Amino acid sequence: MFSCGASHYGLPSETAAEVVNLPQLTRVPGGPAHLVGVFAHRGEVIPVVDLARLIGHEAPESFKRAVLVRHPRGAVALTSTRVLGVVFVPSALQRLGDSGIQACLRGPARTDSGEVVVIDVDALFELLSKAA
Amino acid sequence: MQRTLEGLVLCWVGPHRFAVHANGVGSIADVGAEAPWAGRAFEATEARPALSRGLLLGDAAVAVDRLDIFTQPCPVYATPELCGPGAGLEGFVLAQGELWPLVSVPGLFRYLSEAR
Repeated sequence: MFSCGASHYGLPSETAAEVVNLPQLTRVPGGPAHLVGVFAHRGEVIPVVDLARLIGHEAPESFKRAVLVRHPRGAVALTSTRVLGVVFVPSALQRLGDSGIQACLRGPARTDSGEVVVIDVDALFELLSKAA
Repeated sequence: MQRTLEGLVLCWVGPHRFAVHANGVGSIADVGAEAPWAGRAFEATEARPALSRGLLLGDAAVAVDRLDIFTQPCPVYATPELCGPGAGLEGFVLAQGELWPLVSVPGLFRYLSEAR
């Protein structure tokens, strides 16, 4: 579970590879607005996606850390203002919507740290690939 | 095995940084308004003629704010799927300790022309 701006998000633990301190990012010319840059990490280029911007919330002024998400289609770093730890949520959560980013989010689920929206990583990669 | 490239032109254009493989650059010249190709170079950027240099290849010409020639071998990384084709991205290279988008002169020309 991590926060980006005022919202809390969760990732299935098997997809959250690590939390990384972001170095200076390289801008991607012609990339979508939510793609804030890329960085080199252990021999590969990792795109960094600002989740708040993708969702349409006001983006945090700065972010120094990101949660690195692994998927068979590649890796992506999701910007984070705070990492909150590991929580347990019910597996059967409803999608927030039928299209766009809302179709990639499930919940919300209540936790001791507040409400969390869980990211469907398959759906997120599908959405980001189409938006690229 | 990691692919490498030797001979890069590292360019700064406004807020952007680009790397262009030297083999894909026809010539490099100071950009003066009197140069016959200057119009094409300035079309792609808002570079100030007095401070610019130009990269040329065929019909494409791009004025840049600054450039460096980098001759050491650089590792080349594939473009992640989530980055999309962007400005005709051909990957990324690691040079001078930083990651650079690798583009062609025509790709850079198209991107900068469309981005204006």
